[in-house]
Amino acid sequence: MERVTVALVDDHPVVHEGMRSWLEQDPEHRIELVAAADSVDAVLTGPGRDADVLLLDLNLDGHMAIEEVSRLADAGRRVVVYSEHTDYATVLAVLERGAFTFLAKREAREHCVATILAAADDQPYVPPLSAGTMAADERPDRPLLSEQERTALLLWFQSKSKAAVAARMGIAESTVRQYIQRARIKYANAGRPAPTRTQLLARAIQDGLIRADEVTEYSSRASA
Amino acid sequence: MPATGSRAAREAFERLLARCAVGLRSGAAAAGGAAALAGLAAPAAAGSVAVAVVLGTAWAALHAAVLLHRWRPWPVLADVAVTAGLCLGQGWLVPAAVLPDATSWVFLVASTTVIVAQLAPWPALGAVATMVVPAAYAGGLALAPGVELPGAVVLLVVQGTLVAALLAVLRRAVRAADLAIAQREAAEREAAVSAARRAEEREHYRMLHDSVSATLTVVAAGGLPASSPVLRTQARHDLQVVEQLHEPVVPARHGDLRRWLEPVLAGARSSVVGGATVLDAPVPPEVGAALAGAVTEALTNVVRHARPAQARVHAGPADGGGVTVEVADDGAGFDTDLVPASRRGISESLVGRMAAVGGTAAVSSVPGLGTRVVLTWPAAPALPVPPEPPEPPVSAVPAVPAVPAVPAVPEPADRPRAGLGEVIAVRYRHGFDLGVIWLVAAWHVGNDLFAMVTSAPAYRSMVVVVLAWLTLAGVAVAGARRLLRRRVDPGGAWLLAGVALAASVAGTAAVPGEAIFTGAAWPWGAAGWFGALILLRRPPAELVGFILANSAATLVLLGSDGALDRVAAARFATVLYGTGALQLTVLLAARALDATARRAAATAEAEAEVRRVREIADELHAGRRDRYSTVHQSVAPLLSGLASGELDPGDREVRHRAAVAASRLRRLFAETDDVADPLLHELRACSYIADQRGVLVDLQVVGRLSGLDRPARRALTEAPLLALAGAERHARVTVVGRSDEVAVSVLVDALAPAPVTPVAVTDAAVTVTVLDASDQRWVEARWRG
Repeated sequence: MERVTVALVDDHPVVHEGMRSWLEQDPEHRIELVAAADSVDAVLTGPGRDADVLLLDLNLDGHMAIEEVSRLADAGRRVVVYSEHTDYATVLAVLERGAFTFLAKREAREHCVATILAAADDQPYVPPLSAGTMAADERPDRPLLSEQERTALLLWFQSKSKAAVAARMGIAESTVRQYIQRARIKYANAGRPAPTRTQLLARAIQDGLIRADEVTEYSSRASA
Repeated sequence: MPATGSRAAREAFERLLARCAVGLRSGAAAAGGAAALAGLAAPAAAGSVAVAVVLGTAWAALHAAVLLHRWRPWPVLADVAVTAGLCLGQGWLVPAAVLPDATSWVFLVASTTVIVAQLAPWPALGAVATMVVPAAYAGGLALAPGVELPGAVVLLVVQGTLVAALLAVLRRAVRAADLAIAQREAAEREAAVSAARRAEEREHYRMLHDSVSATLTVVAAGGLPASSPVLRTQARHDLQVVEQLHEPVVPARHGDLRRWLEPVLAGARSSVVGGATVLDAPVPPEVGAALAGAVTEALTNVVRHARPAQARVHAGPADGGGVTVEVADDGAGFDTDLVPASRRGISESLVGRMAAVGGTAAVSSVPGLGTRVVLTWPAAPALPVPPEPPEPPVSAVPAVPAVPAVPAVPEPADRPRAGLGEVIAVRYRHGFDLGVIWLVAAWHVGNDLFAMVTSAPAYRSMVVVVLAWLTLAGVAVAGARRLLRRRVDPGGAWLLAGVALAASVAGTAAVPGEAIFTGAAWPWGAAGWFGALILLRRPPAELVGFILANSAATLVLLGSDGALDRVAAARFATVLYGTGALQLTVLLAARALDATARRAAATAEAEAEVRRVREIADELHAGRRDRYSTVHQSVAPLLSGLASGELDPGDREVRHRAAVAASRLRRLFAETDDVADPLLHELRACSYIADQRGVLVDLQVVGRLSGLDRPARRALTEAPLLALAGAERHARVTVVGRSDEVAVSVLVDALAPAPVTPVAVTDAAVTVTVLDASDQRWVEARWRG
């Protein structure tokens, strides 16, 4: 099997080392870190230009690179935002701008492999903190989640264990996973248009998470 | 907090009106008496007139003596009766020529009685006067031979009604002032009561912190392998400390700064405080409490915004007296010109907190270089000794005389609160302005216009009279605008006064001499009201000059018509009093408003202080009772067991109970801190003992936490607290907040060794779910709004 390639944009060399070691802890070594640099341009002009997934630290040189997320998503890059700025507004802003997901630095060790593999395969994956943020979302124009979907997100954030969530909700673990993925797809469906979003939705239709006729046009939502 | 209606503005205002009443009534007696004796002519006989004048003057003096003391209903009614008698007898007291006009000295007295009755604080008595006096006046005329019912009777009714309406407007403004006082007082009292409650809470918690909490924390952390005499003695002592929660705190008037700040610094997470130097300095308890609160907030701020950063705290005496506390962090800082609202709120609340105790707070920040908060309190210039508290705990306070049982006496009573007088004065002035404007408008339409139309055939030139009326109407509009816009410049006032005077004289000149004492001569009588409106905020001498100038012109006109005889002169004096006295009284009352407002403010302050002291005492008493029962319930059984040696501190279950009890105490302490996010602050306090025991606590928060009250927060944190007390190595605490739901979850790596009785918190809005697996416990408490 071909290895998934990932490029890292972060201005702390220590983070590069840490990420390398976490990726190597995957017993099947499915992910290869092909580039690591301290700016988006440095990564994209070097060996990282063809990486399957881009890990982007939001805080570069003391300012927040939230607009970079839109630019990269428009260019068709699968961006996993990777940051310690875990406040509600930042997480939602990043998802809104077409990032594949938001991975908090404190949960990177446990979740980076699963997140990167899912991104490379265009499958939704929601790390716990993003799940909690979606469960807390109260914006008036937020995607409408079902009660079950929201509960699954909330409990997943609390317990970090889909088995425990399944036990709490009295449902199968696969159903828990499906609720969480459906919630993520609803967010993708509501976000601004981007090639990555189209890929995510296409894959979701293929996997039966969502029906083709449930996909809404961004423009219609914006005018609604 | 019960609403306590203030009547200070109302009472001060009524006293002012009483003085006006005395002035008007005494003046009328004097002027009326002089006119009566000067204008003596048949059928009035010198003897009966002299008797009436002497009796009338004596009564006026008695009336004044009573009213200067305070308003009472009986002199008002008696005055109506006396005047009614005078009116009935006017056929024998007034010259025949004067009888039909509103210019007799009896009319002057009748008119004044009607007006003065309206000033009394009982509108019903005013109404009685407005009905009885004109009726008696009409009756007196009916008794006299050959006189038809003149307009004077109607005039009395009109005067009474107009003045009653003016007073209704004024009293509404005065009620508004009282309402403003009451609202302000309620807010201030609430602040004072809560400051006092917090001060005592903090003092009690400081006692617990240094005793019970310290003991239980050591037991919880497994620091004592077995019971020992030292532990048993300490536990007995700690039980006594719990019993002391019944008693009022008696802080030293000037405690030292360290005692206030050290619990705050010890309570902050060690990762935040990078270093602290706190030197001894005397501060009053309310200042200590304010500084402790401000430092807590500044440190919370470092955690919230400046992460990862550390703060250094320096505190000590300032040069030139007082204290300075500096909290400086090395975090991200911010551009003070581009401060986000949340941050500005914090610096404002620091400033407000310090300002409340006479200190200052300065927040400075440079992006990239961190933020510096400097709190200063200048030593007060010898605080006056506050009044003795109503609840002297003599038995509990040996050897500390002359110290109040009420900590943090909010403000010395003799320091006037700036602005309360101004608050009242503004409302008084507003009411007065509206009342005068209304009165002038009503007079100009109701009296002047009516008189002009009904007397039309008498005028030498109707055009001149109409022009005079229109000009005066224009003057009234301009004067009203100036009044409402607070214009007091002499230029505009004198110009308008000149125009009004010219219009009045021109209008009066169009009245033939024989009609000068009838309603037709309204321009002469009305001018005084326009003068009062225009010159209300000018020195009284200007209005006196205006009225005299107007009357002098009338006198000249009278003389040139050859109509000036002895009777006419007396009538002239009567009209002069009738058209000037009330106007001048209004102006003098307007000038006295500010002083009246200051008096009302002082009264309100004194009353508020009494209520404040009483309510603080009640609140402190209730607070002590609640605190004692909460603390006693949560620690007493455990401490008793440790004191008797029955419980072994090496036992796992005992350690767990100690962890629970110590955590509850910590939470209790945290509840008194004034922080932006109390739920998080209290959750951190709940985690503190676990942290001390070496448990890695991972706290994650998403969403917005709505403002839950203290009981709801306690219900929400109780189950997580119990779970945390059972954690071995790891605990994951998460909080998810929405406006209608807050979920607190704790995931711990061990089951508690034994169930601990939860403190009875029953909050219907909170549900708790527990999921136990073989190696972990997951507890969730959820509040739904």
